Amino acid sequence: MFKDFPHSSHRRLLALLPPPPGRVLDVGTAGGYMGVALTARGYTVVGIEADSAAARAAAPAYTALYHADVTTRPVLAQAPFDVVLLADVLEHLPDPAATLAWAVGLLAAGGRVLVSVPNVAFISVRLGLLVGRFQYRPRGILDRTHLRFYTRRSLVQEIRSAGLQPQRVLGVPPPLPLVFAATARWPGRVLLEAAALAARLWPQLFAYQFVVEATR
Amino acid sequence: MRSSQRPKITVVMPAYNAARTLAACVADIPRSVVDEIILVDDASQDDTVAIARELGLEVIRHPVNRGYGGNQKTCYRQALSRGADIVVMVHPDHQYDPRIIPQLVAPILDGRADAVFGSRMLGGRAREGGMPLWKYLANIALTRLENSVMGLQLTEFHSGFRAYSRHFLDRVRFEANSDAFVFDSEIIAQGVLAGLRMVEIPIATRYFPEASQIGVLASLRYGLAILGLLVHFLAHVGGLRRCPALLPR
Repeated sequence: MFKDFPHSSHRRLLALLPPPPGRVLDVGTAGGYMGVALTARGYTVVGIEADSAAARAAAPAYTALYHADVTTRPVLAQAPFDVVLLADVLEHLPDPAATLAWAVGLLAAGGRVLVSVPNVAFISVRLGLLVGRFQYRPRGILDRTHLRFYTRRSLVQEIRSAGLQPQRVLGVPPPLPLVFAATARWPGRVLLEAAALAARLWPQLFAYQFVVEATR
Repeated sequence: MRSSQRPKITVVMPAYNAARTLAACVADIPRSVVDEIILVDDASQDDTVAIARELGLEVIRHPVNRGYGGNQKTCYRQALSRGADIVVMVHPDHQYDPRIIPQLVAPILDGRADAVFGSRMLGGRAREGGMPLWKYLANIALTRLENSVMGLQLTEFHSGFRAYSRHFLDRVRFEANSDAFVFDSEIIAQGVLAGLRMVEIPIATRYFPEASQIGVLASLRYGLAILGLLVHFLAHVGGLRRCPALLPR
């Protein structure tokens, strides 16, 4: 679902998009929430999704939706794209470098890749390790389906190795409103704003996720 | 960028009492790629203007001293009004080597960037060039903070060797910036909020007695000005207090 509250990773990603119109490739559409948001803003959106049920549900939100596995590096007739969106995708892949390289090859001149991944060095994970705990969970940074883990530095390295230039690397605070709805509104929002400020000033420790804009 | 012909590359030199180093610096500017050199003199007390005229540069004089940022404003305004497609800032104190201007402008010519900064920190050779240790450490601390706040991955914000595309200078309100040294960081903050692309290339620098240096007190004032800028930036992006100067044009 689209995380629609202040400082959410999805809002941050949308804010990094160049103004519409533009051609966007949404990699890993899941139910298509990004496709809905992007189409509403005036972009032409193509999607790829490996899960057939999700792909079927997402299809109406896209001008074209491919039911394909990105690790097979599918050829797309709609390429090149102004933006390739890898929102919470890299951490699920056995070889993210290969997918980044594939994404670079799909970019139009002046195009950009937008990436979001969880921060494995977030304070809660660090404290857990300090007491000897590293437990997979149904959701969050240590989601069971995560195969790869990034710190800010290793993410930047991964992106640079793909031949991309990171332009913005932003720390996103934990999605407090998903747990405490009151933090999305004042006065509870003070908590969320404090977390957002911490994530900006010390992203290595206080960012829950990173959002990166990279150009060729 | 003009489509039919080669883009016009203009070098701008913000000068203040640069008489001793100016000729050597201009001699190193590769004239095969540079179409025009504009020197803006910030009311020097030495022979900067006479030497610049002798060297055949386009010279503009400030009747009173405005400061480094104020000087750059005149530089960019002049370069743009004379039709520059790419503007390269070169300090006339010869601390930076202008012979690498072709490498500096390459990312803009290739369409990969809107601004390119020569970095003394990339590759970590700044201290071999003679930068004092305290200045090196203060630079690193401020750079980390600026990167975090603005979401950038630059190795320094204080380089005086830079290339801007016309598009970059058209999109930011550089005229609204400080007349002091903090101008260099302010224009980066404006670039961030305008979604412009900035890249760095490694450069070597020389620190020598003739090169202009700012003292401890001026450095402190500079550091505080940067912290002030970051507070403004945070308030702006947080929606607490919009700063008109930071809005893209």
